Amino acid sequence: MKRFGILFLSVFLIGLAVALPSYANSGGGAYTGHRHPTRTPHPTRTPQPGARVTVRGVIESQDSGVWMISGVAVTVNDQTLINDRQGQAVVGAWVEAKAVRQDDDSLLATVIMVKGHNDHPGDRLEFMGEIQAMSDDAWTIGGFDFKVDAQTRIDEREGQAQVGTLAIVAARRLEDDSLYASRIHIKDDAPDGAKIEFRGPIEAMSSNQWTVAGFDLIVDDGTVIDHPERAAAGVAAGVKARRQDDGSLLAIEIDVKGRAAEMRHSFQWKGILESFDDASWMISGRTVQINDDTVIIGEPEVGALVEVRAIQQDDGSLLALWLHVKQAQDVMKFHGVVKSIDAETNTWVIGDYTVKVDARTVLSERHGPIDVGVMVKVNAQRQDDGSWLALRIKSEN
Amino acid sequence: MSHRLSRIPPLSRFSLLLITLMLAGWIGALIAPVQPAGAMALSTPIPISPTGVDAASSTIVVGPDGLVHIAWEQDDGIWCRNGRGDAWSDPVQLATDGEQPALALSPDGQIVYLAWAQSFNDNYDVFVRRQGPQGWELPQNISSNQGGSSAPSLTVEPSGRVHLLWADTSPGVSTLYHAISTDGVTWPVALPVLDAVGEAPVATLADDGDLIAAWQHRPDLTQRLRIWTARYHDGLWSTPVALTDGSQHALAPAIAAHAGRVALAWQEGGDVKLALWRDSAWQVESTQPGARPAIAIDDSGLSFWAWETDAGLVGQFGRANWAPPQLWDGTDARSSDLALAARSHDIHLAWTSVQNDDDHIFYDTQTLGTIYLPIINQTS
Repeated sequence: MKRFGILFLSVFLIGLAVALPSYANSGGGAYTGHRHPTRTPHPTRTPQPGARVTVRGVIESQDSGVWMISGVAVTVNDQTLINDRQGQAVVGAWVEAKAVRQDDDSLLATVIMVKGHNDHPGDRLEFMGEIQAMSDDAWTIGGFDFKVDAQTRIDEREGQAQVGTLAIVAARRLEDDSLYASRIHIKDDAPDGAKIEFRGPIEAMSSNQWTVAGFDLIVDDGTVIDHPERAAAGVAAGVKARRQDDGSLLAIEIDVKGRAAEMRHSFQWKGILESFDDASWMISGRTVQINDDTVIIGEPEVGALVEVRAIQQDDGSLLALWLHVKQAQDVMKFHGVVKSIDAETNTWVIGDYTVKVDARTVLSERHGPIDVGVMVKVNAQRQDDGSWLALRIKSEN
Repeated sequence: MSHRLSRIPPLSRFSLLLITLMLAGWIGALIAPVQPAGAMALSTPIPISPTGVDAASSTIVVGPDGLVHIAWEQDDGIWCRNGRGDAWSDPVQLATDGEQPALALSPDGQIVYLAWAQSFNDNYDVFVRRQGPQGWELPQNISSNQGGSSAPSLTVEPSGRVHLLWADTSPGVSTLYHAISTDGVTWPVALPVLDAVGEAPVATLADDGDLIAAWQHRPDLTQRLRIWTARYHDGLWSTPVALTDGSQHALAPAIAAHAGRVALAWQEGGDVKLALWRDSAWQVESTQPGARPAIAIDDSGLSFWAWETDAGLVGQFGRANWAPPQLWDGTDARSSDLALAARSHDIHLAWTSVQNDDDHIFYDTQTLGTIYLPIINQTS
């Protein structure tokens, strides 16, 4: 009888042990099942800052902190970063100036990059800014008035010309000192969800249509095709396209990369600049060679953080295609509580900082939904106009 | 009634009493509140990240030879160590900057793949580098577009083909992207997953060869996060479906597959939930109070999932049945960011915890074969 008692007690305990997890799991019965997804509304598009202007032209004078660039006065101060790697920033140099319009309507340069020396006509210049007004014979872009006429080429491949969109203007100064726009290129104003970038094999090609990775692409005279000589079925290509109103995809750019086995290994990384000379830089233990085609942004300085794009050459060495020396003061990481979110201006106040968000901003809500009052970690980058753009906002515990 | 009882032999009467007690036990178990059945005894946790710096977001994999690899993020980038038992390599810095590391191994465990997100040329991109016989190769920028790319998830097929899934804002709204490489060196394909909008994707490879993904999404900050899933079969992604109804925030998905099982865990409100893929649908198996679950399945199909609670990390394991939840000894309310790997009844755990005011990564392991498993099937 004692043995039976032990047996039944064991059965009882087993029953209890089975029952416990059974109960513990009982709350999971409310399975919601599969549902058809609803279409996700697209968030509002981030407006381009109106005060930013890019001027490309020839330095005509440099007096008292004001440089005249193809007739446009630009203020230069201690905060202006002058990149003169490709030549001295002197009268006659062809430069690109990124500037912010001030309260007194003057332009303060944040960056001036020398692009070369004067083989450009001094009366030619380029602007980039927001379209503020449009009429049949004049447009206002970035605070400058441009005459337009039937000869002005309006390039609307990337977006439609309308007030508020970003435009690049190729202009020349007329005898009456006014500016005439010979070409206006509308920058990408595709609404969110209409742009697409991808990479995949070319499946078919005709004169006006390519199929890449299952996507049918309209190709026209305006489509930029890099390395068309490599194009063939099975070859990998990178595509930038925009969806048109009828749902079709218009190819903006197709970069034919080559067959996978033939693709040259390209590498990109960030590292610390350990040493440098005219022939090579040592970045976090890796030597990269530089040549005349290497694009270098910023002034090299041992200890600086450098972004590298390099390819592996036939002998195994690395050739830098692009080097960007990052300024420590242009990046910021901080923790703070979200104090306000302005969806109209895409401006958030987090802790002691005001940051902008745009299509590049990554919201990481894995640790909880982000809202006012939530502690977050922010990685931000200073913009040309001095504002901070949040590249990532991550909710914290 | 008493007359009938009096005719029952004494031994049978005792048996009836025991059966009654057993039934009472069942009933009691059904109505009583459930507490973790004690602490899960582990070896002493091994500190993985160096002292004096904050570390977070650990990821862990274990190879067929039992070698464990752990990667994590610090302020100065992505770091990695490997080892087993008490023998661990020195930490190796694999990226000067970066967040959200993800690890994967080739089937033979000889190639380690690491993916992470980092700011590069004015936006976030997703990078991959691999460690082969010659050591760690240089990183490649896999997303390389104008959007913000984040939360990479790596999966390797038995053939060695590598899948990388991440979230990307380049279409204007955060969308899942899927890149495929036959060797982990060249990545000729990187495509958006149509209609798969969201963030924090995770993916696993089912035994039938399908890649199964889960992620979280809400259309804007006024709505609640929901869990979505989709399946990549024969080169095509299925239409994404929502697993949760949006009545509460559902977030932090974790997914694992092995030995015929596919399991998905997530946080919903103040609970964590575990669902298994059965009969062509996700069936919720367990709901427990907690947050941010992790899950792993070993080669025998033994499953283990764990989550954060105010008492510490709590875990539950099972195959056809689930053992009671148990508190992980040595963890507390400050233990978070759990990562799990499993192989041959061994569970490997990496997590973040506070020590001397710094967040550190810790590692521990336990053989599950030594723990009691219920023997009677339960119904869910």
